[in-house]
Amino acid sequence: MSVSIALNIAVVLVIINISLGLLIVVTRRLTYLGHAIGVVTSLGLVMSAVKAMFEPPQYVIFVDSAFAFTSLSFRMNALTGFFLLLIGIVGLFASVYGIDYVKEYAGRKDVSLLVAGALVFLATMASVVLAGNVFTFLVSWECMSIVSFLLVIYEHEQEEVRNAGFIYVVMTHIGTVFLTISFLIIARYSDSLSFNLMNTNHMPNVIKTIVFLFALIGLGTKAGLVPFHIWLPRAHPVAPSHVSALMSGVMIKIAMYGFLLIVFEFLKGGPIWWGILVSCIGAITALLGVLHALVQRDQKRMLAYSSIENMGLIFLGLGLSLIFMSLHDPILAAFSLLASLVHAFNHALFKSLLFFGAGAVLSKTHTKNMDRLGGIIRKMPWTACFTLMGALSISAMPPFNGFIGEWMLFQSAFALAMSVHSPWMGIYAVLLVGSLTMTGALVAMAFVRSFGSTFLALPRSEYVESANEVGMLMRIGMAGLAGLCLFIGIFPARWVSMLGNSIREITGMSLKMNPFQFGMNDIARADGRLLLIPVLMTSILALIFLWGILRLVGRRTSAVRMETWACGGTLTPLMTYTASGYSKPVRVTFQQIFRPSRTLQRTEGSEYFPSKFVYFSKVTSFAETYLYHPIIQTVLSMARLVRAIQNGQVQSYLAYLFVTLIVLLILVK
Amino acid sequence: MIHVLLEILQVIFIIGVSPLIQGIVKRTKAILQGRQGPSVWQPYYDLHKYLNKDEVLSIHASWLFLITPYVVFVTMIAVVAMIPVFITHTLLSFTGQLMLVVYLFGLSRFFTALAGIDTGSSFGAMGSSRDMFVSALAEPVLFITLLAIALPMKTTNLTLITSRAVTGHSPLLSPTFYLAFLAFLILVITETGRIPIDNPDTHLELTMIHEGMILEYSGKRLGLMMWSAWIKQAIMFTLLLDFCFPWGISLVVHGSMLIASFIMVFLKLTVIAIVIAFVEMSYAKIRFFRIPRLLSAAFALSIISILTNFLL
Repeated sequence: MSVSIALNIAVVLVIINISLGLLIVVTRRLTYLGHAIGVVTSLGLVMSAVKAMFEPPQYVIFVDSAFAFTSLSFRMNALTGFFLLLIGIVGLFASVYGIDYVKEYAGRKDVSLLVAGALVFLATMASVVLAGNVFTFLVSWECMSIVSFLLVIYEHEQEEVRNAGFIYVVMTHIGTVFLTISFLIIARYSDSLSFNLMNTNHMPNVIKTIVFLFALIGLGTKAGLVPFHIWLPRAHPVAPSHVSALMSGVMIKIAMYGFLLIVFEFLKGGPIWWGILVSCIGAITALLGVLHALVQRDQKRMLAYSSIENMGLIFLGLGLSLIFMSLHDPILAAFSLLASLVHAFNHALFKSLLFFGAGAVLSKTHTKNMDRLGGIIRKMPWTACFTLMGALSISAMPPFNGFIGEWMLFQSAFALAMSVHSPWMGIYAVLLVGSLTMTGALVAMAFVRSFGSTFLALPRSEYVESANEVGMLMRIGMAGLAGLCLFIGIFPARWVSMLGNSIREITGMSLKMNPFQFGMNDIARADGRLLLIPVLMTSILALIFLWGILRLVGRRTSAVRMETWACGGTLTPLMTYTASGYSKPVRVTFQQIFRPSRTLQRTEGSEYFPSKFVYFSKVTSFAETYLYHPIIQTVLSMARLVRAIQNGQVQSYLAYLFVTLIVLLILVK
Repeated sequence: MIHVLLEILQVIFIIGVSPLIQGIVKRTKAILQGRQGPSVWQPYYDLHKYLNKDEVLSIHASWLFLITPYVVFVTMIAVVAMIPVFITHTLLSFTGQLMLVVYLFGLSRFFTALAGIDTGSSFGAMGSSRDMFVSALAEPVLFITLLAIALPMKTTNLTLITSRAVTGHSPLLSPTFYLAFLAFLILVITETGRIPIDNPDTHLELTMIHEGMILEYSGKRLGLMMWSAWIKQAIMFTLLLDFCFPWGISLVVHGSMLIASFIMVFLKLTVIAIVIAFVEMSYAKIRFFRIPRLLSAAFALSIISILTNFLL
C-alpha cells in the first residue's frame, strides 16, 4: 500500500462516515451500523496514518469543480499522518466506549442522533487535517465547529447546556473569522489556494506579523488559550462524555495543526518576539488553567480546565521552537517541536481516558459534583484503576507517558537557558521552567483531589449507593487507552523517533536518530538520553530486595480490620474531606486571582441556636471578570447610546434616510 | 565490575544509614532542648519493632492504601540509585536525571496523598491537601535552584554535575553558590518536612502534614513509610552535599581514596544533620499560610543566583 492509496482510503472513510451519519439522521435508525462503521473507519484511519508516517513523500488529490475557488483538495504527509493517527486512535476507543455509553440516553433522548453526530464529527476532524487547500480546510473547519456545537447542545432541555452551546458557537466563529483572514492573506500573496504552493517569501514583515497574530487569535480560540478560553470549560463538560473526550482529546489539537500549518509551514517562523509571545501565553494559560481546574467541583469541568492547561504546555513548546528557529538553532527547534507533538499525543490519550472515567462515574451516579461522590473504588474497581492510570499519566508521573512529554519540554526550556547569552532571555527560560514545574505539581494536586474525592474515602451521598461497574465495552475503551499510556511511557524511544518524519515536514530538520540519544548541542553530547527501563528494572530489583528485608528482619505478620479512627466518635461520610475543602489552601493563597466569596445563611432555628444553614462559596473566573465583563459592559452601554435614535417612529426613520441621502449626495458629488 | 559493586554499595549505604541520620537529628535536638533523648540507634529499634508488629487496617481502606508503602519505598530506592554518594558514578546515569528525581519524589507523594484520603480520615486528607499544596509551591523553586547549580555545569546529569563540581575550582567565591545554597537549604527543610514548615515529631495535632497522611498506617506498612521518609531525607542531604560541598567525592576507584571519601561523606552527613537540628531548634513552626512567603524568598534567592550566574 503506498501513501496515495492511504490517502484515498482516508478520504473514502471520511465520505462513508459523513454519508452514513446523514443517513442515520434522516432514517433515525441504523444506530448499530453507525457504531460498527465508527469503529471500522477509525481503524482504517489509524492504518493509513501509520502508512503516511512511515513513508513520508506526500501525495495530493484534487476534486475539481467549475470554480477554481471551490475545488476540493486533499493531501497526506507525515505531519497530517500524525494528526490523523491521533484522531483514529481516540476515535477508535471513543467509538467502542460510545456503544455502551449511549445506552445511558436510551428512552429519554434520540440516540441515533448522537451516534450520527459522533460519526460526522470524527469525519470532519479528519477532513480538516487531510485538507490540501484553503477552501477544503475552512469548509471542514466550519463543519467541525458546527457538528461539535450540535453535539454540545445534545441535552438542550437544560438551560446550562444551551448557554454553553451559545457561548461556544459565538467564540468559535470569532476565531474562524480571524483564521479565514490570515489564510486569505497568505493565499493572496502566494497567488494560490493550494497548501503546497503557499509561498510567503515576498510577504512584507508587517503583513507576516498580522497573519501571525490573526492565526494566534483564531487558532488560540479553538485551542482554548487564555484569554480566549472561556467557551471551553462550559462546552466540553456538557457534551456526552465520549464526545467530550473527542473534543478535549482531539479537536483542540486540530487547532495546533492549524498553527503548525500557518506559522511553521507557511510563514516558516519569524522574529524572536513571536516565540516569546507564544511561549508566554502558553505558560500563563497552563498556570491559570490548572489553578482553575483545582477549584472546580464539577468533575468534567475540571477536566476541561485541565485541557486548557495542557494546550498551554503544548503552545509553550511551540513558542520555544519558534525562539530556537529565530536563533538559528534547527536541532533544538526540532526537538522542542517534537516535545510539543509528543505532549499533544499523550494528552489526547490520557485526557480521553479521564473523560471516559468521568463519564463512567456519571452514567452510574448521575452526578458530576465531586463533593457528592466518594468511595466508588469499591463499587467500580476497574473504572477506578483506569482512571488512576490516567491521573498518573496526566500528572507526568513516571513510568507513564505524560512524563515523557513533560521531560522533553523541560529539556527544551533548559536548553534555552543554556544556549542564550543574554541574562534576560536566560531568566525568561528559567521562569518557563518554573512555570512548567509549578504547573506539573499543581496538576498532581488537582488529580489527587479529583481521584481522591471521587473514588476514595466514604460515599458522601445516596448517588453512590446504587453505583456498580460499567459495561464491558466501556471498560475496553478505557483499558485500551490506559494500556497505551503505560506502553508509551515505558517504551518511548521507538515511538518518539517515529515522529521524526513528521517534524521533517515542517522544519526540514531530519531527526532520524533516536531523540533520546542525540546530543542536544553542548548539553549532553554523549549521553543525552532518558532511560526509564533501567529505572524500572532497578525498581523491580528493589522490590525483591524489600521482600528479602521483610523476610529477614520481620516475621510474618497479620492484619485486623477496624474502623478508621475519628477522635473517639463514629466516622460518618460528612466528616470526610470534600473536594472543595481539599483545594482551600489554593483558594486562599491565590485569592488575588480567584476572589473567593462565601456566604453563610441560617435557614432554621434561632439566631443563637441555628439548626440549619445554607452555605454558598464561589470563585470568579479571571478572564471573565477582568476582560470579558468590561468588554460586554462597553458594548452594552454603546448600544444604550444608539438606542436614543431608535425610537420606533416611521417618520424619524424616514428623516434618517433623507439626511443620509443628502450627506451621500454631497460626498459623492 | 568493581564499579557496579561500589554503586550498589552506595545504594545500600544510603538505605542503611538513613535511620542513623534521623537518630542524630533527634539526639541533637534532645541535647539542645536539655533532654537526655533517645540513643542515635533508636530509629533502628523502632524499625525492627514496626516490621514485626501486626497491623490494624481501616475497614474503608482499599488496595491503594495497601500498596502505597511498597510503591513509596521502591520509588525511593530508584532515586537513591541515581544519586552520587561517595563516588561520582551511579547505577543509573543519564541526561535529564534531575527531572526524573523530582518526579519520582512526586510519584511517591502522589501515592502517599491518595493513601491519606483513602481511609476517610479527615486528618489524612488534610495532610494530603497541605502536602500537595506545599509541594506545588516548592517544586518550581526546587527546579530553579537545581538549575542555578546545573547551569554552570551545562548538564542535567547528576554524575556529570557532581564530577564537574569536584574537579572545578572551588565555588565558594561565587555569589551564585551562596544564594543557591541558601535557597536549597530552605528546600531541604521543606522537602524533609521539618520545622518551620512541618513538624516530624508531632502526632495528632492539626498542624501536621506528612504525619497526618500516614496516621492510619501501623505495623509493617508504617515501618516502610517511616523508613522511606528517612531515605528521602538522606537523599536530600546527599544532594545538598553533592551540589554545594562536593569535596572528597572520589572520581576514581582507588582504595585509599575510597576510604577517605567514605569517611568524608559520613562526616558531612553528620554535620548537615546537626545543622538541621540547630535550624529546627531556632525556629517555631510557622503558620501554614505563611509557608508561601518562605518559599517565595527561596524563589527570589534562586532567581538572583541565576542572574548573577549570567552577569558575572
